[in-house]
Amino acid sequence: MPEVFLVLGMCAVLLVPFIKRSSHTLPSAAAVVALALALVSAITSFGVMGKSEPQVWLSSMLTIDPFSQFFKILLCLFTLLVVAQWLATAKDQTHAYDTPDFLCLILGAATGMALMSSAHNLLMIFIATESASLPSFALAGWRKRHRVGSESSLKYVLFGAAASAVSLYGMSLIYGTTGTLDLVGIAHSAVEAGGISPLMAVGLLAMFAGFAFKLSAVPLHFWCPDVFEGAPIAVTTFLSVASKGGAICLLLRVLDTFGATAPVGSKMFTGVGVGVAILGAITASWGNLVALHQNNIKRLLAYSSISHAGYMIMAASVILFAHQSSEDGLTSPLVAGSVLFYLTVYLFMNMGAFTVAALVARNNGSEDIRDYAGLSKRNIALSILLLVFLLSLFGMPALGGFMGKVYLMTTMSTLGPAGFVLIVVLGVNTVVSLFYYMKPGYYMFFKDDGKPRQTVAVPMLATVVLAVSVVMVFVTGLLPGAVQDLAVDHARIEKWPSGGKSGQVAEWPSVGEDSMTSNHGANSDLRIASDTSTNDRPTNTGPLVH
Amino acid sequence: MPTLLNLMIFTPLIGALLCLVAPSKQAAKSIALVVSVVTLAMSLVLAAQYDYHAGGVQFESAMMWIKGINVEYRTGMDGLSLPLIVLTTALSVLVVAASWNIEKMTKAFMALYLFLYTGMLGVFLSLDMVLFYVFFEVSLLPMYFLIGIWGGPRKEYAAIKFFLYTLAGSICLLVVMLGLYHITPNAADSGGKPIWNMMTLQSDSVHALFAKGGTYWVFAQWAFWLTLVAFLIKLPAVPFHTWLPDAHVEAPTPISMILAGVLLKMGGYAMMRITWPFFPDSARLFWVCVATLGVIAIIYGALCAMAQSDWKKLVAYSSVSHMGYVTLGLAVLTRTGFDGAYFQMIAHGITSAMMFFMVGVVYERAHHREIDRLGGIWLKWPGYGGWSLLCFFAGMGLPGLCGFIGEIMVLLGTFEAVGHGAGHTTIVYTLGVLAAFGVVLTAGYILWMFQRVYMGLPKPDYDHYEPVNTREYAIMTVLGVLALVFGIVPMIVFHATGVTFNHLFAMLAVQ
Repeated sequence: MPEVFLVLGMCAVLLVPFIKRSSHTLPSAAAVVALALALVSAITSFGVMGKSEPQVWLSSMLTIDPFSQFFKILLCLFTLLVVAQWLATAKDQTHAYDTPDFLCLILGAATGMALMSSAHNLLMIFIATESASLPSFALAGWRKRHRVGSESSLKYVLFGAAASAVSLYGMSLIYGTTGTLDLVGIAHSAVEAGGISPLMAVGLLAMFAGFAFKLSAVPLHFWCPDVFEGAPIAVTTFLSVASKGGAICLLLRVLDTFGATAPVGSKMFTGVGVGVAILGAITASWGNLVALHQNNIKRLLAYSSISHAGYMIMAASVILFAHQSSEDGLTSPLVAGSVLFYLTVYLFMNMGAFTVAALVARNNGSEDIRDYAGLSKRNIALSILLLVFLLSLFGMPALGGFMGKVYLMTTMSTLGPAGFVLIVVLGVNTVVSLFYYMKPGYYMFFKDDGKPRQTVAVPMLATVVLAVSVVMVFVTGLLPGAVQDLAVDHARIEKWPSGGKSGQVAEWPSVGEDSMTSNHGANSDLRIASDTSTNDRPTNTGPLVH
Repeated sequence: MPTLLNLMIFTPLIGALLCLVAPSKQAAKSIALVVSVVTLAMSLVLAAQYDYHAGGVQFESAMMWIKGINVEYRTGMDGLSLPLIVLTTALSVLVVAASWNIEKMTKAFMALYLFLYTGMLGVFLSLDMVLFYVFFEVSLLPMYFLIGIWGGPRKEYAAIKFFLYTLAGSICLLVVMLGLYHITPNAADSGGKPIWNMMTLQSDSVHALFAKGGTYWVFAQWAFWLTLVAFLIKLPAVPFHTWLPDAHVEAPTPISMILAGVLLKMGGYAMMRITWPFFPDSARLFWVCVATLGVIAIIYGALCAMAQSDWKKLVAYSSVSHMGYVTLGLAVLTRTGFDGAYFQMIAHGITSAMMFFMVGVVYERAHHREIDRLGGIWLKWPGYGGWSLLCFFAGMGLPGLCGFIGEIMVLLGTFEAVGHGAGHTTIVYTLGVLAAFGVVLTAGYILWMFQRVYMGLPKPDYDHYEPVNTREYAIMTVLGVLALVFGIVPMIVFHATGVTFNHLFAMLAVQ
């Protein structure tokens, strides 16, 4: 369970200043060790997961399945890269007293996001979302005397609080109509009632508004560009991938649960799916159109991230139909896997683009794209790298972004004619996006305003981050098979028969025990008996393998 | 031999990396030249080893690439790609020679050019749809930079316009590929997996799916048009042609040469490789519409060319007009038309590259391309004038030169289409007569341009122009001789394509 290590890491980072004050190294080392342990734990549990049953924790609050563990691997790896990027580009602008705070907040947010991918119960969903959000609010305002930063942070808090409130209200409505907090239970009672009641529809809408906020889906995206601009680049990088990733996993799990519960061929939840698809299409298109006018690299990447979130939401909507479609190709693992693959690619290309942006901003003192003029003359390697990352974000073949889009399109196309509408939206958006992704390239390679600027220095750690990112962008682009196999064949979303009402409380294992590697011991106690309420579900009880 | 073929695709890429680390500009140029000569030699070896009597795909190699969706790295050469490969490699040497005086960021120029070169070879030699798509799209990027960095005053606009237009086409192609991904597993011998092998995609079992009245007939009609649009943009045909004059006017001379000489041919090649053979029934249904597009391009391109005051733009529009013959020749579904369309691509590859080079020679000295400010160049440089005469007459389609064969065969093929059925006679005659009128218009704009640029007395400001040097004479001599050779012995091309086209045309012929 990687979350345990993340929480321990938070404590450790806050405690090490007692050993030596005013040190960057010690807290960073603690954070890196915690992240590395969390990563190892996620990988081992993912490895074991392929062969064993999924587990439900904390009275079915959390589902530990290959899907969530895959995301946690990504998250831990990504957080490691973010810490490295931060150390490489922003350490010298930060007082050593502040380093533990920063790391603690990052680890805290990562914990929340990891929980989001496992959450299986409305309460847990709320807690996970909040524990991801609260540190993010603080991180957004990290630059204390920075006006834009403070403003955006406040905006983020207010917006976030409102979104949480709405979301919580929605959850209470859902609880009121269904009498359970468990996702399977909710879906189940909706099926029993023969459809979604108006009250529950309002509840769902309000709850999805909370997800949409985290995903920065239009029209709840306003915080995103401001926060991305105001926050330090490491935080921007972190939020652009991790926060959206956690939310998309949550969305996938909720939609998958609903889709799996409804009887085959039922049109019960079609409205939800169509609504989510439209939300995704609007988000992608709006993000791209507004990005065309941006001159700040962080705002440009912010709108780009909005549109990428839109692509993933569009694909995620397909999962709702995966269990009910008679088409052979469309299965829930395919949808979840292709979104996870996309997330993997998106992680590395965004990491790379933001790292270059951070290095250039440190050098230029400005994040304006027009200040990229002549960068190719000052640092050709960095220019080419940025170009590769941006082209991958756009979807140039041979780079990861292209394969990601192809897998998303493949998923959508299994849906038939409706899927082709989504594909056309995605295709048109891709063409539009080329225009702004080439904008930095245009300044780097075509323009030279002749202003004297220093050559851009690249610290060792930044080189490592960039190398990892660019290698992964090419690997996912040229040899996507390996990652895709992992994502589709192994990262299944498992469902556990509704245990929310049964009241069985699983025993929390002691912290020191490596819970994931020893599946025979304590974990057998953690499983909730699978014979509750299996008979009245026509399809898809237990692990979903089509 | 398959190894040699794959080596040929990636030799320029290796050269590109070497250029980036080359110690000097001169070294980068030498690397590029050596790489193009070596690649030319490789393509000639392959051409010599190709079994012309057997035809079909030879030197094939395949390797599983993306297992989950059955995508392979599959390359090979057949009669359709062989002449284009030789044309590409031969032009490439000349293009490197023509870029010898590029002084701005020479290493990057040569590296990008060689990168583009790999893309071009890859497009013509890949036999897997996905691989083809990757090469097709990857070749856009170096072109974008070659126009955008080394181009004229509006280079950035031209570069992004080129990129966006072609990309829009690629997306159409991608949509078709997604359809194929779902439909082809239903083919009889697919084994339940998607088919990407371009040769299998033309087999009877796949045709059965896309046949008229078949299960996927509606898809086949859409797919025909989507792929057609993708490749008509590249070709380019009216109304998708507007990127071309901009790109050509802004591009540096060698890049115009390769753009007109090879990149446009990717469009024509892809139509003959994908659009027609994959969806023959759709081609038979829509042939009048497509042929009309071709005729419009011929006439409209020629009229536009006639109206230009910019010499290079005139040549650019002449490309639109000439490529119209390719569309027309393919659309009419007669063997003569098909052969003519293919020959037109090869011939236009030689003449358009030469025309752009001729324009470039003057532009480099005069720094303008206004036809009205030129005149009397023949007297200034008699040798250059002589080669220009041959070059523009070849473009015009004078018998004995390469431009003639393609045009006349396409026209004859168009009239042969009368055989398609009784109802078509009027349409066929209208199309044929209009297309033939295009030949008159071509003669009109070329002769009028020739008169204004070359005839008369030299202008006084020519005095300080450097004389045409040996390197430039060498390039125009090679191109001129090629124009002559292909005009006199067109059988070289038909010998190479014959058997492959027999097979290809068997599926396309109107029953």
